[in-house]
Formats: sequence, C-alpha cells, structure tokens
Amino acid sequence: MATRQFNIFVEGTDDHDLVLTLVKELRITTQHPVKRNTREGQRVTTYLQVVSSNDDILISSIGGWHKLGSDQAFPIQQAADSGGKTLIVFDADEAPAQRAQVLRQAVAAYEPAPAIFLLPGFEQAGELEDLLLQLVQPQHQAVMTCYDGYEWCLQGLLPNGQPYYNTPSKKRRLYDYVNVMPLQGDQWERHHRKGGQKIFENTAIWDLNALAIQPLRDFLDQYLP
Amino acid sequence: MLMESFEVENFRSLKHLKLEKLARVNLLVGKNNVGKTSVLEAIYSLSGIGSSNWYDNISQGRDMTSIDVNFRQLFYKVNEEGVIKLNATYKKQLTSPHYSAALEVLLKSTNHNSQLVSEDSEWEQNRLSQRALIDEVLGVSLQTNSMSSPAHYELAATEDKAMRQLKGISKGASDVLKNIRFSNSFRLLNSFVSSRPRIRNLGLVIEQLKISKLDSELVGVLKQVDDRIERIELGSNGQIYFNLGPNFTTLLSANLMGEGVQRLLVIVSVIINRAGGLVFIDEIDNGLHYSALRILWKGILYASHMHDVQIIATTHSAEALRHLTWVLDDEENASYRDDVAAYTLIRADDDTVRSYRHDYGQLEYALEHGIEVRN
Repeated sequence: MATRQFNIFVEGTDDHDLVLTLVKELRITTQHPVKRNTREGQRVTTYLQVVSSNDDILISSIGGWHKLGSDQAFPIQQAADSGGKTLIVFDADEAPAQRAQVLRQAVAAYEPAPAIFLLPGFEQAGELEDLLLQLVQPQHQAVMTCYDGYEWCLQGLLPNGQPYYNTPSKKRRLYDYVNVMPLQGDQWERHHRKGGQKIFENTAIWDLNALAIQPLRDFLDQYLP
Repeated sequence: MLMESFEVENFRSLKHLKLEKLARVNLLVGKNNVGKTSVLEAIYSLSGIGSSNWYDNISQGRDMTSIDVNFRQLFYKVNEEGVIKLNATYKKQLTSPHYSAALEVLLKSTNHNSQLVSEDSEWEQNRLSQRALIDEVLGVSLQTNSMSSPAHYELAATEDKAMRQLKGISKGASDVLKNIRFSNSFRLLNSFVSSRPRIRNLGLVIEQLKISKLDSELVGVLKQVDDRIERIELGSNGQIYFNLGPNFTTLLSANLMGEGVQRLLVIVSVIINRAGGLVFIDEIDNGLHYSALRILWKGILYASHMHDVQIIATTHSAEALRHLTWVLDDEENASYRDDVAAYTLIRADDDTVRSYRHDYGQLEYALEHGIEVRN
C-alpha cells in the first residue's frame, strides 16, 4: 500500500510545537527523508514519517483560523486521496460550536469530514494559552504566583490616580515562564534566539500528562496512523 | 478558444488522468516517470493526429527515430487490446459556443492492399501506389459536438526515404478531416517543443516570422536576456544569426549564444508563430540557468497573452515553479495571475495519475507543502 498522508493544521508556532511534541510521544517517527521542514515567522512546517507504516504526517501552522481554506487544498486533497486524514487543531475562542462550523466550511470543498479539535478542549471557549497555563509543572507553579504579584503590582500603579499600564497577556506570562527557566544548549538557543520557542519536550517545564491535555492526546491518538 | 479540460485513458504511461480548469499558461510538475511528457503527447495527439508528421513530432522528444515506429508503444502498458481515449472541452466565448472533442484510437491489422493517401496533394501524387510499411494501422474515431456522428478513419505509416519521415493517412481520412470544421473551433495549430530543441530546425519558423514582420517582437523578448541583440538574421542555409550592434564586426551564430538565449529563442519564436494555437514545452527549464528562468517566464506570459497561445509545459524542478511565482508576485505582472495554473501530478496505487491544481494564490503554500519535485 502506498504512503498515506495525514495533515495537522494549527494556527501558530506554539500550537505547532506543542502538537509536534505530542505526536512524537504518541508515535515513533523519523524526519521525512525528502520533504523539507521550514520555520518562517508564524508559518512552521514539519514533515514526519511514521516508522511502522511509512505514512507521512504534516504539521503546519498557517498563521490564523481565517487563513484556512484553498491555500491548503493540495495537502488536504492528497490526504483524502491517499486514505489519510486532515486534522484541524485551532482555538475555540468565544464560541466553540460556531468556530467548528466555520472551519468545516473552509475546507468543505476538499474534505467534507475533517477531524476538528478546539483548544483548550472539553468543548470550552478559550485558546491555546488557557491550556498551556494548566500544563505548568506543579513544582514551578510558584513562578505563576510571582507573576500574579507582578500583575497586582502593575494594577496598583495609578499615575494621576488613573489606571495606566496594560496587564500582561497570557502569552506574555507563558513566555516569561519559559524565559526564567535555566535552559541549556539548543533549548536555550530555540527560546532566546529563535522566536521564543516554548520547549514543550522539556518535562521539567511542562506536564504533558496533565488532565487538561488528555483530550488533545486522545484526539491525536484516535486519528493518527 | 482555450482548452478548458482534458482527459486521457490508455495512452503511453497514462492509465487515466484528468486536467481541469486549464489556464492560458499551464505547468505540469511531478517526479520523473509520472507521465508528464505523455500528457503533452496526448493533448498534442488530440489536435494533431491528422497531421502527417504527428508521429514524428511526438517521437522526436523521446529521441526515437522512424526505425523505432511501433504503434503499440502509444498504448498504455503496450497493450494492443486497449483503446486510447482523449477528451477535451473548450472555454465558451461570446462568439463561439461551448466546444468539445473526443478521440478514440485502437490498433488494427494492416490491409496490405489499401492505398495510402494524404492531405498533402503533392505527396499524395508521389505516394499513391505506396503501401504501408509496417503491419499496423490505427483506427481513429473522432467526435466533436458539431458532428452528428463520429468520423472513422485509419492511419498507417510509411517511410519517406528522402526525408526519413514516416507519414501517411489511409484512404478516406482526407475527406473526413476536411469535413471537420477545425479552423474556428478547435486549436489545430500546435507545436511541440521537446526538452532538447534543435536550433537548426528553427530557420523556417524565423523566416515565417520575418515574412509576417513579427521578428521585432521576438527581438524585444530576447533583448530582456541580452540587450545587445538588435536583429535576427537568416543565412541562406537556414542558419540563424544575431546582430549584436556596432561593437561586433560580424553577425554571431545563434549556436554560439548561451543555452538560455537559444532556449528562449526557440520557445518564443514558436509561440509567436502559433498565434491562436497550442504550444507544448517539455522540460521548460532544461538547459537554463536559474537566472534566466524569470526572463523566460516573463517572455512566455507576455507572448502567450499577446498572441492568444495556450501553453502546456512540464518540469520536474521546483525552481521553475518558484520563479514563475516570483514573476507573478511582481505587481507589474499582476494582470497575468489569472492566466496561470500549475498541476502536480502524482501516480496513485491503481496506476492512474492524479492531478492537483494550484492557482496563483495557492502556489506559495503548495511549494512549501509537498510538491515533490527535484530541487
């Protein structure tokens, strides 16, 4: 049987890196012998080959939910034609049901039944960062407490008696969480020099067996070869 | 009228393939042996099988000579029981109705007593008594939507010893072909540019361009590659020369120019000479340095648009496609973006070939995601 193609489309680089780490935990894979991996801004592409079946897995961040559609027609059709599957892992944002509907519509011309998972999971509204905040290793949860203190401190600063400073975003909080960790070698490079990567494979930082990520693990496990 | 879709069955290496939403300039990409050249030959056959040099033209690109003629090689898996089916539809225009053509070809045994005739009257006079040289004829059935029933005729090959060409249409074909209204509704005009075009065969094309006063357009495109080129001249032996201006005391033979100039010369002169027709270009980037690829694409986009020519080209290099994308990214070429489609061809488990179409907006993502060609 020929090689099947499986696509996992995600929104941004952190989504890509998290899903890549999970796929590598769930399946024995190797770097694809022919297809090229790229990382440019919000667009990151990784091709893996599953050792047991020689099937291909494409993990591609496309830069936002509104960019899903005809641009990805080629890999989506390839997956459908080869007996593979297209998986979509995007943020639920405010309304999970509506977002799922929009995403399904965006690829309907090429794949009538994509597998869709909306972050943070459990059919809740929210986004990747809501999930990641639940994956912080319990032993480092104190870092988040420090951050709470930082936020409260900022909120207490009222020049001219009025609130002036922005409260740091969840993205900022997560970036700083990784930023204060004593990373070494390649992990240090990837975080400090190559776009603030979150180093999800570092089990001292992240608990990828936390209950919060189980639905995503189950979803990937269900559809991947 | 542009071809809009094309479907082929049982031809050369193609068990089945369909191309849809063809554009003015179409680039077929894919790995070696996926059947790209066979697609060109199939489309060429649909419009050109009535031509006496049809078989020669599709054989040249594969470096086959007349000695190699074997009609069985036209059939998928050399299966003489098979039937080749070629179907095309054409874009509807204000002045012309929707048009379609279907051709079926099967192999038959030769009737050695049948006389050969041709649409070429002089050749016909010389060859009336000649018999087919090989033991095969092709049974051809052609149906267009302007015909009430299919036309049937037979093709046989014979050897023209002087020209070393094989040609011949069996009795009855001329009448059939004359009665089919190709001229206004079917792109009969076509040219096949092989991956190794022979510049020495180009003299007649250049001469025709000079007679039609179209040679200045050719020079205009070539100047983009080498701005020293002022004129193209023809020697009495059909040799092509470039006039490179006052700094050169003699004309320079085209054979001494770089491969990029030679390739562009062949392609653009064929396009200009085939106004309203189809031009097939096999391995479009063959022999070209990457720096010439953008110039080539600009020349092709401009010339095909100006002269209403539809291009179907092949490549197995991602570079050719990447440079086409870059040319289209340039705002000054934005008007050509809807003129272009690329098709990735992939052979499936059942040996059919699947085509995946990419328009301009999809090309960048497709190049990054799985167009498996030689880089």
